[in-house]
Amino acid sequence: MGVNYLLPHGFSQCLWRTVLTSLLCLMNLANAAQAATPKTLESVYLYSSPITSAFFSANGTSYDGLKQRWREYFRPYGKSFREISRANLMAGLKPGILVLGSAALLDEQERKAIELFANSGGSILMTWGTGVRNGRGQWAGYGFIEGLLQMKVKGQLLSEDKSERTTRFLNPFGDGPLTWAVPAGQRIFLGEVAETPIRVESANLAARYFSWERYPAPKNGNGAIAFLEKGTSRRVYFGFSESSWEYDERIEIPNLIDSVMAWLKHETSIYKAAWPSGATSAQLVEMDAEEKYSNALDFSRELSANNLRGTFYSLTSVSRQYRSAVEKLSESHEIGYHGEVHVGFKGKTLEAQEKRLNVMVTEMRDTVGTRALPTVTGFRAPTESWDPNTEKILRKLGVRHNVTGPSASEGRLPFFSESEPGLKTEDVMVGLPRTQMDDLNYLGLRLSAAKVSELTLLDFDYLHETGALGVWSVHSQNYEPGDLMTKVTPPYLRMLQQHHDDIWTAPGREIADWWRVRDRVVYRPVKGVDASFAFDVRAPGNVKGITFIVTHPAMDVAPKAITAAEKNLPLPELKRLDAYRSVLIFRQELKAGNYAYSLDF
Amino acid sequence: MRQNTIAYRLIHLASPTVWLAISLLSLVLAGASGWVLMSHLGEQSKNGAYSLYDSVARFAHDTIRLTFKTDRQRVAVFVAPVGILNQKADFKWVQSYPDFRPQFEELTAEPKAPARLLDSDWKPVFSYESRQEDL
Repeated sequence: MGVNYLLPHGFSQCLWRTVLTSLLCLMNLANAAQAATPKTLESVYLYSSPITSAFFSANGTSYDGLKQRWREYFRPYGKSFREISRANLMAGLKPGILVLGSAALLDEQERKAIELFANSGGSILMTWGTGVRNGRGQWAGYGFIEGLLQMKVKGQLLSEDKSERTTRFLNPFGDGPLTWAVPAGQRIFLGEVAETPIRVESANLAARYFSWERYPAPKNGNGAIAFLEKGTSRRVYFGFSESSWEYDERIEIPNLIDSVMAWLKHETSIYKAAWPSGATSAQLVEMDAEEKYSNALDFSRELSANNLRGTFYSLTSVSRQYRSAVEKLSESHEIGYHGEVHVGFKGKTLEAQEKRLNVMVTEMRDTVGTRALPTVTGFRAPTESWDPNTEKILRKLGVRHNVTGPSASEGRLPFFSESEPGLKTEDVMVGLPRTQMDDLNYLGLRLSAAKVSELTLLDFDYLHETGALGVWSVHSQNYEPGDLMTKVTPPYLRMLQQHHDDIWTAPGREIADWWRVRDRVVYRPVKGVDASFAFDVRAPGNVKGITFIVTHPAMDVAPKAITAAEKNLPLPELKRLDAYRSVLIFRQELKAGNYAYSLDF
Repeated sequence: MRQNTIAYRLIHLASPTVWLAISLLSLVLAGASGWVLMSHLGEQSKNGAYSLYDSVARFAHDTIRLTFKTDRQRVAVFVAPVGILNQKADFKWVQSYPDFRPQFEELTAEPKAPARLLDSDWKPVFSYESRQEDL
């Protein structure tokens, strides 16, 4: 007996209508979801601007010199890459990524065709002075790139008086949606090229220009890579020209373009984050405790007042005279070595260094006691002067991390020392580079406390947006009441405290240990299966807080759920980071083994 | 230089004026032979020769620059015309331009079946020429 015989006719019709309407609604919803997730773009077009080419030739140069870089980069793309003519552009292109490599001359028709391509959902990658001149070569301004990227060009990096000559280092944001393939804040030299890089101001930046020492210059005029998502069109602008690639000795620009291309293609990229438990940057607060050792206690109180823990790298010949202060400091913070006397180690013979470092350890034992000695595993060389021999001896003495100067690494992340090649990462020394200016740098600038405070807070913002490791370093003799550093440190620490959710502030030992733990996780991309990923945890396991970042295929299209390939695998916490990224945080401890997951959008 | 060496004797075979004349004549002869050779070369070979010349010139220039560290004066290397981002710079304006010809455009053409495929009288000959004719 059918349902129709039991229910009144009108009610049955109403029921069927409701079911059909619900089905239609569900289908519409599914379609809408599909529409919100654009298809991955495959085709890549390099626009061979004939007018730019003619202009360059007429004025004694060759446009090929710039274009050739792209041809070489795209060679592995095979048939999905095409170099296109003006006629091709005018005829209309299938959705893909259009690369305008320093195409300085564009006429009205070309501009319209490019805008039409973008407005139809095509992605665009533009560099340097694209569109600054019209079809004849006369000045047209930056309106074309400004309009497409909704940004403001602030001028060239090299000013007329050449005072900005040194700010020719590109610093990409680590773990960013466009630049995740390059470590946070990596210094990439752009060279002394005549194609002077262009500075931009944009709400969406992926890299900035800095000087070698990363002096915190004002924020509104040092943007190097800008991006924009408008409708289904994604757009990226590089302020530097292709001729800067010549100076990229470590071949980092191609890596950077790899991740930019993935974003432009609307691909979902999944990668291991630098920091644990969803933190987006990290901070070590440390004191070089030497003269006026008792000032360390004031510094410690300031840290504790903000619920922060730091490291006191102590000059052992001095600290042994302040045993009770060291004991008090070690209750909340980490104690590390700062040499036995304030003289550098670099270039000294192995024997001389060994003798000095043995004295250092003996004095530390005398200060903290034999039982506590194994907990002293950090080192910071006096005057930041050390060499591979120093690290070799230190490792034998049980030291596990070394807080270096800014020249030890091009990046702003911890690194594994290369002083002893061939060692396992579990045993190797971890370097923590001080890439922030320290008290000596600020004192040398002879600025007012207000100005220094302004610079340090600006530096704080830069560190955080870059996803870097910051090292706030103060000498004990410069922390007397009324000193510059006693004025500027408290506001900085308060900022750290306010950001305790997204900035991981920890002593040097914990940061170095994390870097080793993180290295045990080996990411394995799953080929051919979109939004699936796998990773291995190497022995001995014990990995807690490992975080993966997922880039969204479109703005605000975040993954909705994560499914484990096997039932017994732990599920991570899925959290939206911003419009372009989500994070997967494994808060539970992971044992050695294989892990595989897939994401649902 | 020691006087009994072969090099010394060779150099002193003739006076400096004679050597200068020989050098100039050699240059003229080399230039003339080069011109005769170039005039008989096809367009492609000419381009090849120019490109070889450019490579050699660039190599020589870079060798001198890097050996004698002339780049210490920070002479900027340029690819784009100097001053292209300068609003007031003067240039030779573009009057006309040939469009870029895609190198592999023919490869991107859609493949299609021979027009006579369904013609029952067609006796296909499997050669490259006949294929081009069909396409």
